[in-house]
Amino acid sequence: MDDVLEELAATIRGHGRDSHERAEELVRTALEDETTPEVILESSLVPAMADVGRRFRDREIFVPQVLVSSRAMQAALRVLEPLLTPGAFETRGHVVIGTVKGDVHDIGKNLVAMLLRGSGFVVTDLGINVPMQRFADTIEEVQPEIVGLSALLTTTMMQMESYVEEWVRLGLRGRVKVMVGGAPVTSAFARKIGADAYGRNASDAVDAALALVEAGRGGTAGERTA
Amino acid sequence: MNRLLDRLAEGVLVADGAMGTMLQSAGLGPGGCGEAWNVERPQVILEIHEAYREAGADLITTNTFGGNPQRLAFHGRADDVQELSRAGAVLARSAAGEDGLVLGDLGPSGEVLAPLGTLEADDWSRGCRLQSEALLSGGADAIIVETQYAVTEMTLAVEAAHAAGATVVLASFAFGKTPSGPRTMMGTTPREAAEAMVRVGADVIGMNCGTGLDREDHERVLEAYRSVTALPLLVQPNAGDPASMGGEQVHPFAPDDLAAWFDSLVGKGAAIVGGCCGATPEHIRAFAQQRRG
Repeated sequence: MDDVLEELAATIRGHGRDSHERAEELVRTALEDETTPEVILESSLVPAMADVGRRFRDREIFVPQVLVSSRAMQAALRVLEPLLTPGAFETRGHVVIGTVKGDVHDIGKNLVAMLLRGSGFVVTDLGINVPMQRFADTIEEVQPEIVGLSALLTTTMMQMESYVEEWVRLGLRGRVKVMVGGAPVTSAFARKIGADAYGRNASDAVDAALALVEAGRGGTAGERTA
Repeated sequence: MNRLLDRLAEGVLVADGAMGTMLQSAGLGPGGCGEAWNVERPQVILEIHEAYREAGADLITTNTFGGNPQRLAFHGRADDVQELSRAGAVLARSAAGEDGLVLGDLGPSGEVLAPLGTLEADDWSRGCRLQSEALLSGGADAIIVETQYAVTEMTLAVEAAHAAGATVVLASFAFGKTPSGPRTMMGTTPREAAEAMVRVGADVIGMNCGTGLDREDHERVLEAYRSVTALPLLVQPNAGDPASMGGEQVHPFAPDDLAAWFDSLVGKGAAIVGGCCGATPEHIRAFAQQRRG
């Protein structure tokens, strides 16, 4: 990797006060050096953000550091996104995410959304207090691979089951993988309500999402990259 | 001199247990506004307070954890901060009686302060001051800012409570387990938290709730606090790890087990001990009986 991409990755991983401004500058420099947007994204930004996710999972860094890294990542993406050649960069998949109805907590859910974007997913974030029907409508509309449900409270968490049941009834369940997370959620609970995956923390959620899309692609992976 | 500090000089104080989980048992629906019950179903709140008082709690905590403008806004009640907090303090005061003490409760914003988040410091301070004034006017003896994860947010809340006229402010943080010891969600160590609270002039420093903490972690936090300050320390653990309380997997401590643990925390320097999520009047009764021999 060249020096600029190296420094860009270090800027994303670091927690400098002005890292978002520096990241934007470095992306512009890389583009002037005729590095393609795809290479900047895949060889610098995505691995750097994955590293941030790993260190967050291992509790070496905490919420403020992830927010700083994400802000830098977003600044870099704002420059890059209009320049990405359609089809040249394959997104990992589309995730619709939100906190269930009655629950207004979003710090954890936002971290998951940031790390998913940082790993190359397209994320539709429906926010907090999201009713079941809104998820259903969005599934119809954007055809995501994955739906992520978040809850911080034991009480609101219990609704996840009725959400999943309702999607079964609406015939949507077969089209998407369902991931659940949030402080009170456990893998046993995730299994019980018929979710496909559970993220113990934000980084775990990204790993689980990657595993789900990988499994979903199965034998067709070769065709898609051809 | 404040009544709470007078009582602390005499010995260990027993705080109450959970409110949120008690409200859920009483029928508060998912995402319901528990603070609204201070005016809509005051009898339920009063009975919970009275159950704790009767069980032996010296300190009764108001049902105002989510009573700041930021949290109430989600229920369309951001304008009711004063009404709900004042009503909450009046109920706690009534249950506490002459000998009991009322802690007016401020919870966290649930947001992240700007520039990393969207919560403006002035808005947070203003809400804390408004809530503190209402709690004090309703009869609170002191203000407790609890389950905090961010030092800056905590500092602003303690300053606001003092500015509102509180003579005693208790500052209690929520820690989680990490490879480098207990830290808040923002990465703050107990030592850093205590140092900041000494700087801002908190009168009691505490820990409550938390995730994945075992007994040893609680002791480590108390030791770290003690290495920084001689101020009275407060501990209010969950009756079991909420991470294991998903669905049917609730394995809270039995009252006697929790009481024995609470007693050991007194041995580690805690001056105020009570419970957080999952702790019921029965847990508090067991501990209070143990204290009174």
